[in-house]
Amino acid sequence: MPASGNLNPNTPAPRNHLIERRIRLAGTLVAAGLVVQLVSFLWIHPLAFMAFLLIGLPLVALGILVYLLTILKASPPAP
Amino acid sequence: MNIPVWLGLAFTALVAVLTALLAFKSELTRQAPGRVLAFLALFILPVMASWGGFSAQMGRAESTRFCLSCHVMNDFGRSLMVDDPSFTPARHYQNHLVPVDHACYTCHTTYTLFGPLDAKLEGLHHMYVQYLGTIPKPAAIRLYHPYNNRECLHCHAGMRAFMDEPNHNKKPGLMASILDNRVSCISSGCHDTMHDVKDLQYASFWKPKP
Ligand code: HEC
Ligand code: HEC
Repeated sequence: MPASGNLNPNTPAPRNHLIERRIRLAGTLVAAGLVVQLVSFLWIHPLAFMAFLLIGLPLVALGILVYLLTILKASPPAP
Repeated sequence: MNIPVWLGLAFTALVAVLTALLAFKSELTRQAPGRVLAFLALFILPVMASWGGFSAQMGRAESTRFCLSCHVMNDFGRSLMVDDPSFTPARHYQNHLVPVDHACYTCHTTYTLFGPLDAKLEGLHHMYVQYLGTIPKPAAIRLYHPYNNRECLHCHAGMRAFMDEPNHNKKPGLMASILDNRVSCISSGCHDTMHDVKDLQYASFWKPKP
């Protein structure tokens, strides 16, 4: 992987900072979504169901999307 | 809650901890193992956890308790305890002829390929009315579509008590018309008492022995 030189721990290029910021954002979104999903199981109630569907799932999906876009952009361009 | 649900929740909690770890220590992804961890914790595992959670939530949405958690359904729940076997839902519920913890869903889903999905979509419409619309009086509620015999026949077709019942065979061709929904099971004079919530105030109720 030629680009991994860029990700070397000893030379934190600005690009790495950007990637790590994105990873942090993705992790926060996914973790928050999963916590909402967990909390929604405390009640058997339509509102808990809606919280799962309309908050928990979209947060996780958004986090995954941010992550996938990040690694897609970080991967080396095809020669 | 049953064991699979507990296990699923424990799994989700574990995944949440992993993702939070990555959120706090995103520099982990500078090394290859950290990148593998990120791929698992930010993609594969949350998809699995959400998928499991989704199907568990769908299962809950079929429970009697879920249906009765909106106040407007109270009387329909009470009607299952009426002390009169001519109340068809009550008779089924009290004798466990429908699964007690999925009683409403068992009669009110449609037994077609997309029936379980249709039932959920109608459920979403119920939620819309509950939270954003005007809630009708219980006695004014009607089904969105006329009740189809198919739902009763899901259990009753082929059942001896049903097939041999003299009233179902008193005219030539009657049984055939029942089987293909030309004569409704709930037509008046037949099984025409279901929840009857408007008259619930006059009903007496069965009290199960403790
Ligand atoms: C044995 C099957 C059965 C069970 C169990 C059952 N229902 Fe019904 N329900 C019916 C039928 C059949 C109708 C249609 C009555 C009609 O159209 O006249 C109906 C009608 C309804 C209606 C429309 C209003 C009405 O009275 O026509 C509501 C609301 C309803 N049911 C809610 C529930 C709820 C909530 C539960 C669980 C607590 C439940 N039902 C359990 C068979 C059942
Ligand atoms: C989940 C399965 C199931 C569904 C759905 C169901 N039933 Fe039943 N029903 C049963 C069983 C089991 C019995 C008991 C039969 C017996 O005792 O021989 C029964 C008994 C009955 C009886 C009493 C029969 C007797 O013994 O005199 C009537 C009436 C009846 N059902 C009507 C209906 C109608 C009307 C519907 C549709 C609204 C319906 N059932 C839907 C399972 C079901």
